[in-house]
Amino acid sequence: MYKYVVRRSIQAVPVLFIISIILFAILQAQPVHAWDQLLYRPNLSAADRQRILDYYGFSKPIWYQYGIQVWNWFHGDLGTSYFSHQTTVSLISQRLPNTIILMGAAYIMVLVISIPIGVIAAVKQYSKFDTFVTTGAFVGFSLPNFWLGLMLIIMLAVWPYEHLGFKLLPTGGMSSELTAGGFSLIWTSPVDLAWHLVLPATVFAVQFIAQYSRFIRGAMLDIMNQDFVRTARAKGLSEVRVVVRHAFRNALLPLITLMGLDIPQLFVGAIITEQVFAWPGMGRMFLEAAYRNDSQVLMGVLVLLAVLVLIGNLVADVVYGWADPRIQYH
Amino acid sequence: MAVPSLEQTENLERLAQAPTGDFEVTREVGYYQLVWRRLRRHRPAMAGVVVLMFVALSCFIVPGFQLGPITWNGFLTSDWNNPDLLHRFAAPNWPHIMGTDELGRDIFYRVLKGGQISILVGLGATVVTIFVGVSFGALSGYFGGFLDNLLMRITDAMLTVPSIFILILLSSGIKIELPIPFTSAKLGGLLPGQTPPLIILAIGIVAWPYTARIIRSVVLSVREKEFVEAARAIGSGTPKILIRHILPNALGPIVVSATLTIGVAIITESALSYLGLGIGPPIASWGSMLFHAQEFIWEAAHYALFPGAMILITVLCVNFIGDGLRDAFDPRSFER
Repeated sequence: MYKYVVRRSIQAVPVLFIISIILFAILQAQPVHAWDQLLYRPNLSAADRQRILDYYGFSKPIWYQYGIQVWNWFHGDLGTSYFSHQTTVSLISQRLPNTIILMGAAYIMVLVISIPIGVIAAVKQYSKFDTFVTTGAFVGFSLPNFWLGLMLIIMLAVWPYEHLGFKLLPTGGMSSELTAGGFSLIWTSPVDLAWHLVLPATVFAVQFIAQYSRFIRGAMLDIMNQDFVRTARAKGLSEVRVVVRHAFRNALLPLITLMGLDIPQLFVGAIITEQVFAWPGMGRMFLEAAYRNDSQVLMGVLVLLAVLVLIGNLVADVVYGWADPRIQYH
Repeated sequence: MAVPSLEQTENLERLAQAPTGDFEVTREVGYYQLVWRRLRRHRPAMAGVVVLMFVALSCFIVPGFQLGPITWNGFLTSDWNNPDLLHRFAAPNWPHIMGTDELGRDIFYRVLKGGQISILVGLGATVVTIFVGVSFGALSGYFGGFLDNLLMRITDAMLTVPSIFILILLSSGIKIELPIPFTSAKLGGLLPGQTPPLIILAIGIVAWPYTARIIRSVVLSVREKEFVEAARAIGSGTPKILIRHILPNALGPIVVSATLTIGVAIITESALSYLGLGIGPPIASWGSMLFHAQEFIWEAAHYALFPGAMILITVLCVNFIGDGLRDAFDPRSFER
């Protein structure tokens, strides 16, 4: 097991190298760079211009600039923003907790809703409920979640406000205070936070619920046809016990892999949902950096994300091996 | 081989028509005929085809009627795409059946025009994706060894960062200025970065790794089949083996993943445009209409409804067709 982890980690190095080269190339190929803003000034003397270029390392060859980026990652600050002059790590640490609150709430919602749906659909295969779940899952896959967000805002905030004079649910931000001139990075009371979390988490969760309930249904169907389930039934166990204790526990195993593989998808959900509901998380930070071409921040976030994804895949494999003794890693 | 006599042929035909014993002799049916029959029995897929045809034909034909000779009783007139600031945010009513937007343009007309862009971007991105993905997958699976290792590491690398992030990087750059010939001059006043060809390329660049993986696994198994060995034994060259023998056997997965890619590409394009980084003014796509709709959600709630509903309907149809094709090509998955 130990050897397996080490070998997988070593295999991840070239993958990280390739993706960092690809991202660096894309950022270098941008026609307008963040630092151009510093250079396009009417009174900038040639000496000052050179000083700026030297300060950021732009006068150096490209491979040297790439080296600076790599050096920043090993330094642990992931580079510095050209605009706020904060390190990427400090920018992320301001925003990441908010994103994790959103993701966590949504993910709990996904598991709580999709597991019972998937299990029941599998146990009652070809029933009306099953057909309904299958169709619903298709709609869930095909639903653009930003549009779902807009529709929920209209139904739960715009219409009630027009007809009743108040909103049923808040439409954006993390707290009721300080939302006037933007949105606050802090939240005051947990109740207020939960109140603001309802819509974003729901929109975040819908696509995953569709995917997970269908996945659990498939896994359960596989298990229900196996010999040990028949044995359990033949022993005279109640159907509930057969399903919950024997079948469901085994159906949970492939779910571990799915959870590990879904980490990048969680961030995709975050970037869209945070944009719809003005949630001050990492997704919005990334978008703001992208609008301004703040390449150090973009690069830092994406490399961190890539590392996270690789770790997630590895952890999923290791946990799977630990949870299912039939699996041996060499 | 001897040509069968007339009686023998008749006998064969009689045998084919009348089942004898407890087995049935039927006419031979080709593989693709069988696939087609299975697909036709798949009701959601067929419904998907019909609805999708309806949506696509409306998008491409109806806007053409606006300058036509027929009087439309105020409906679909020639100035519907022009700003009309006296009639902003009109609620859906006749003749503006979907209302008007923030500049007083007709939403129905823009939904149809935007649909052209969304559908074309979806199809175009799929062509790019399938071309790159199949090339990578087939080369990687067929040659193996160092090439396989290299191509698959690139694929892995692309998969570690979700595609929308790379797309955001790509499109935030091309939005500003990019000296690419044939795009800027031809499309007049359009900002060069917001042209559909560049969005198509960008989506194709990030979407291929999934296809490449699927095709690689199929090619890996087909490569070992006897007919490939036979083709090699009679002296066929590598390109011929790949194109004539291996790829036709991978057609099922290619068609299925192409269909599903259309849906993914349409959603991706609309998400990108919704973030303000894809298709931009003056042309519309369903996603870019939603981008503007959110801004004016308190003034015109109906604005957001229709473009999004069109995305949902289109992608749903595409996914149903993809599901039907998968079942048709691989009957074993039918039991699920």
